[in-house]
Amino acid sequence: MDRTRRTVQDVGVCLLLPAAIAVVATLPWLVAWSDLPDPVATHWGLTGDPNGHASPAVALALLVVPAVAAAVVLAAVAIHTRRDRGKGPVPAGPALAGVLAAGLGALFAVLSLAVVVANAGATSWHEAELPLAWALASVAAMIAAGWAAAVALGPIRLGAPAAPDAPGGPGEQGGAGLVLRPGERAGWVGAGHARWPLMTAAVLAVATVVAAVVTAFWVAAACALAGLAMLLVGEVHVTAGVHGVRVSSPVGWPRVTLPLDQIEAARAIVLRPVDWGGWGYRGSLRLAGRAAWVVRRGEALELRLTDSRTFAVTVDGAADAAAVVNALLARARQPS
Amino acid sequence: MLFRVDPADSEPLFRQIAAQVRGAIAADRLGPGDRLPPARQLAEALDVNMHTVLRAYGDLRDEGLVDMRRRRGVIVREAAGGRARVIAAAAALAAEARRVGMARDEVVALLEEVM
Repeated sequence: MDRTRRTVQDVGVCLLLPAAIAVVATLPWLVAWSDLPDPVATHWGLTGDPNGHASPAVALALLVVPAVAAAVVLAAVAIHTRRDRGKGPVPAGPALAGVLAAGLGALFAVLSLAVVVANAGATSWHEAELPLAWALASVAAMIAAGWAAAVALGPIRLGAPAAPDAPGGPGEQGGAGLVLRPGERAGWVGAGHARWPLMTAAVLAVATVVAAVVTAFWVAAACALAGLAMLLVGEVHVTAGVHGVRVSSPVGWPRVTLPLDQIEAARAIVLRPVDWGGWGYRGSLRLAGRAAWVVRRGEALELRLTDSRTFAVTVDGAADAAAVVNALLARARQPS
Repeated sequence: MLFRVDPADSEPLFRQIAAQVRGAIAADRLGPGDRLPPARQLAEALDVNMHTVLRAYGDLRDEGLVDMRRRRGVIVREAAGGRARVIAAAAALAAEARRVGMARDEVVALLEEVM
C-alpha cells in the first residue's frame, strides 16, 4: 500500500506535474501561432479589457521560459530527493525549491494558456478580452500545484539529521574547560557575517543613489529596501550572559531572546543552509519547535531548549559562546 | 569575545574588563581594526552598569590602545599589540616590586637606568 502510494507520488506528481506545466505553457502557442494577432495583448485591466501588448515572440519568452525553467527545477528536485523521500524527511532547502517551482510553474503555465486563448482569433490586440476568471484560475493552479508538490515530497526536515550524541553527552560538548567561581560572571559578545549579502547591500546602496539621481523615485526606494533586507540577512549579533542568549540584526530588530531558564544545553555545530531552506530566520520555535538564524554556512551556536525545542545561530567563535552558556547553566543548577 | 568578571575581587569591575581587552590585544586575539563589543551589549551580558564598560573602554583609549568613534564604535588601534604588551609588563613589574618590598623611587630609578 505504502509502496503504491510512493509510486503514485513519484510518477504522478514529481514527474507528471513538471511535464504538465511544460506542456500547458508551450503547446497552446504551437497550436494557435497562426491565429494570433501581432502584437498580442499581454496585460488586462480588472474589466478584462487589454491595456498592454508585446510581439508574440516576446510574450512567449516571458511566459513559457519561466514555466519551463520551473518545470525543470521541479523535476530536478524530484530526482534529487528520491533517496530522502524513500527513507525519511526531505531537507528543507530542496523541499522549498520544489514547492516554489511547482507553484510558480503552474502560475506561468496557466497565464501562458490564458494569453493564447484570449488572443487566438482576434484581428488586433485591442479585441483580445480576458475574463477575470482566468486570473483566479492561475492563482488556484499555483496553490494546487504547490500543495501537491508539498504532499508528494512528504515530511520536511528542518535542520541537520538527528545524530547520536557524542560521548560525554550533549551538555559537555563545547562547554568543557570553563568553570565559574561562585559569584563570578561570564559574558560573551560576538557576531556572524556573510560576505555576499553585505557586498550586495553596498552595491544596492550605490544603486539607490544613482537611481535617485537618474531614474524614478520608486526604483530608488526599491533599491534601498533591497539593500536594507540584505543588511538584515548578512549580519547577526549574538550576546550570551546571565540574561540568557540574545540574537538580533545589526539594527537591533528583529531579535530573539532566550532566557537562561529556557536553555538546557549549548554546543557548537556546523550548520548547512540547505538543511534549513536557505538564509535568514528559518523555521519557527512556536510552530515547529526548531528555528535557526542563518547568515552563512559553517560554525554555529546550537541551543537545546526546554520542551525539546532547538535554536541555532551562525556566529564566529561559537565554541566560546557555548562554553559561557554551559558554565552559567552548570552554576545555576548547583544547589546554593 | 569572552569576558569574565568577579564582583568579589578586590580589583574594580572596570579594571577587570579593561585588563581582559588588554590581554586579548597583547595576545593578538584582537588586532588593529577589530571592534570591541558595543558597551550596551557587554554590560547586559555581564549584568554590570553600561558606564562601567564605558569607563573600561575610556581607560583603554587613554592608554592609546583603542580609538572611540561616535558612529563606528571602539576600534583597536594600529600597533596596539606591542603597546599592550609593554603596559602588561609594566603592571607585572609594579606588582613584583610591591611584592618584594621595593620602594617606588627605586623602581622608577631602575627604569630610567635601563632605558
